[in-house]
Amino acid sequence: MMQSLGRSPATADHPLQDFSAAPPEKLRDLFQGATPESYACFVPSIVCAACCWVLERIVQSVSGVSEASVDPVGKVVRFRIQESRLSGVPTDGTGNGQDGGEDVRLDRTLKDVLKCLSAHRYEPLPMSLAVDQSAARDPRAAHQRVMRLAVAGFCFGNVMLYSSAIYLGEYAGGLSATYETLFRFLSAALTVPSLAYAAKPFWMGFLDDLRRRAVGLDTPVVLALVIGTAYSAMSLFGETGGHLYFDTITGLVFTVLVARFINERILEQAHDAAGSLSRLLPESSRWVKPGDRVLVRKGERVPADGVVTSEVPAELNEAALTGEFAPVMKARGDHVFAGTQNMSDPFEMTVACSAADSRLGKIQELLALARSQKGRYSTLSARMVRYFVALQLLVAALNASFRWLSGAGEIIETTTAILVIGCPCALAFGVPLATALSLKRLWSEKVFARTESIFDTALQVTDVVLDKTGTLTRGAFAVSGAEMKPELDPETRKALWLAAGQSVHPVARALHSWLAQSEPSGQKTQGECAPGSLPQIQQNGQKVQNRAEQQFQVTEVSGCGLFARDEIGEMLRVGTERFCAQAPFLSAGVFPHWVSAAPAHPDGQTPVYAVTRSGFLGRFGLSDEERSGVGDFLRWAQERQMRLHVLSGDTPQSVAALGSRLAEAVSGGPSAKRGLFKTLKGAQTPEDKLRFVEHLKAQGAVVMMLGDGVNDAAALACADVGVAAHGGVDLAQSHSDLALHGPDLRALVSFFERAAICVRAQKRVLGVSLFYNVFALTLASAGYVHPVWAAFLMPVSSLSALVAAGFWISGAKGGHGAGARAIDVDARAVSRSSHAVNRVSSTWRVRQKYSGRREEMT
Amino acid sequence: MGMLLFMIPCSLLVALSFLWLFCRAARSGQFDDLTSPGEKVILEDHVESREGAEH
Repeated sequence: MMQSLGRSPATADHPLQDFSAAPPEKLRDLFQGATPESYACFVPSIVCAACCWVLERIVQSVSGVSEASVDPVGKVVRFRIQESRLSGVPTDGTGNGQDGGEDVRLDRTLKDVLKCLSAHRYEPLPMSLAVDQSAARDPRAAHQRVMRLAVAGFCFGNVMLYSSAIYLGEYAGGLSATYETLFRFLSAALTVPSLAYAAKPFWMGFLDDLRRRAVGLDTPVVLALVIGTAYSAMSLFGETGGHLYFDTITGLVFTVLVARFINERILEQAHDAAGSLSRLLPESSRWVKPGDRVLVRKGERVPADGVVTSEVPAELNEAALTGEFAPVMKARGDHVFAGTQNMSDPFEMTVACSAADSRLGKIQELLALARSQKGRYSTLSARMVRYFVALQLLVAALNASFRWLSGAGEIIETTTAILVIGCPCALAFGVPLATALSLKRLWSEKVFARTESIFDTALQVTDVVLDKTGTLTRGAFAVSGAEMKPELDPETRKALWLAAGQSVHPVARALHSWLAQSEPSGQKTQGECAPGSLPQIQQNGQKVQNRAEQQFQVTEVSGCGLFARDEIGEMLRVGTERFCAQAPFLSAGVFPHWVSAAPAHPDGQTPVYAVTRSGFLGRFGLSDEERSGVGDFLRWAQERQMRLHVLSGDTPQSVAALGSRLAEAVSGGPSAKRGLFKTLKGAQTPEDKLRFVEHLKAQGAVVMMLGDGVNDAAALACADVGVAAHGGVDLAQSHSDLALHGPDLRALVSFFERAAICVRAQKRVLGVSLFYNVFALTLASAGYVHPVWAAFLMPVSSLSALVAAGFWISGAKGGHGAGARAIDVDARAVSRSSHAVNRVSSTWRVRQKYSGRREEMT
Repeated sequence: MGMLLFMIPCSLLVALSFLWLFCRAARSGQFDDLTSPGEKVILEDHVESREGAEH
């Protein structure tokens, strides 16, 4: 897919290109699957279901392979090699004995499969290289989880049948002794597999608890199982003919397994959002190196962060990183990021860093961190679970001894009921689930939280400290005002456009793109709207530019501007007033009166002048545009009575200008602009910013700092909530708690809303489950709860905690789960659309090739 | 009532055979991937792959 212009050196370093030369034993080790006779390989070029379909057939068509399956999510191909006695493949007598021949055949088949895969451009890699290590996980663990559930359900259902018969018999006035004994023993026999196989995770968990000398969730379950089994066994074999609790035991095993299964599935799905990011990278991202030149075709994804080197500007969809679907123009010299998609014609780029160091790689690291660090309520709930289990055991012991001393009876029933119903599963599952769901929804809005605890802190924020350039503003110049000579002819205009395009300076770039987009009023007569003329210039651009490069040479003078010279000599200057006034081709006083008379810095704009041999061309005012959503965020913060501070390294005048402009925009009129910002400070050094935040904190404020630059990093780290704005430098991101990956500041408002929802849900889950457990414990020790009821109610309570947490998180805003799936859908949809582009062009060739291949094999 | 002595082993046998079938299905990967089979249905039956783009 991705064709690197420097492919051969890159592939030479690629560790597995030469697997055919590897010794056979090593080959088998590399591709060994979960079981001795199965093999697996990681195929990064799997993109969609169509690939899986093809791959399964390709692998199955290799003689000696008995079955093949493809996991599209983890990009793993698994296959089995037939045993020789079943296959019709003769061993060709190279092996000495039976075993030797078998080994040779195995190796040959394995090698055939690998060769066949790479012949079809599905490069197989060993599982150790899999991107998503969870996919490389042994699938048998998942199989066992399902099978345990099945066995537990089977035992529970059948035991229920026999216990119902016994209960009914008691009710109807007597079951014949033969049948009663039969049923009792049958239910005992069916409990054995449930305890021995299905309940194994509980036993293992209990042993772990014992080893750690702590009590966990498995402790009360195991104790209930042991007590219930022991009592039932005694009444089964004893002469008393006492009550049997096999229905309770099997029911408990089944329902707890179901509850945990559902919980694990939801958590896995929530965490999958992070894994889906790595799936955005094309396969070539695995082997491109810094310095490689790569051609990115239409519809393909950029394999690594780098710089555009083609002359023709490219349009990239950066939705994977920013959530913005509008394509972003990238001209020569602009940075492109791994995982973004090329929407325009092919362009060339130079790789700057490996995929792991790319922005996408950083996001993944951030997500992994967010998962490993627990918030206040999660820690609280984990601690409470431990105390609660201890309390529960204490209550059970007290209850049993009290009943034994007072002779109240029902010792076994009440103890089992206490152990079962008081188990704080809801407490243990609900809070982590609420957090995981909230984080997942934040990711879908391209807000990446580093810690869970940020949710609690964010709600207490009293002061918001804002950086100006790059945070409140875009950090990119744009022409906001132009005073041009009215009779600017198209030739001069084009020359200016071309000259500005030769430079990578932000001011020149802004001028260049502005000239491309705006047209002088004289040319609008044909009814064309201004942006419509953009393609026309671009189409001609290629040709004109070649001519232009011969025609004139552009030289930059740093801090002043640039000049262009043609055959005759210098002909054009763009830059500061002084630089332009000093142009050798101009006589003094060429500037019109209004230019010198007008204020040089209206609204804090940066003025840029342009002159040619024919005289003064125009003056352009450049300013930094505000970020979208700034007004909404400020208005929201003002309503919340947060104190707003702006600290900027820029001049105090421009800070003041921006401050009054924003205040006007927020409050709707100049009259009310007083009091939006508590502080507006310019010319701030990083130390000043840090000191300001420290000062606020010392006064008892909870500070949120929003910044993007290196000069903000210290203050970001110091603030209670540090937020790195979109486009910020890596240093700022690594020192912040929260990173905005979209340009819109409204994401911050939705983060606060999400945080409020999450904390509220966590508190509710904690409250409700604590109340439920205490209530249930009381009822059970009073003897009101039969153990069978307890076995039902316990998992029902934890399931309802899961449902409630999910509802409180997602039901608060928008459709249920719609946002949660957004990131995944986004990733898949984009990768599929890029794949479709290639599919269309390649259909018939593949058909030909594939049918040829099949004939050759059979 | 004597019929029960025959019916109970029968019901157990049937239930066990279903359990065995389920476990076999689980072990062979029936429940591993619940998303892509649904997508495969909407694909055309012809073989397509990415390789043609390169040749």
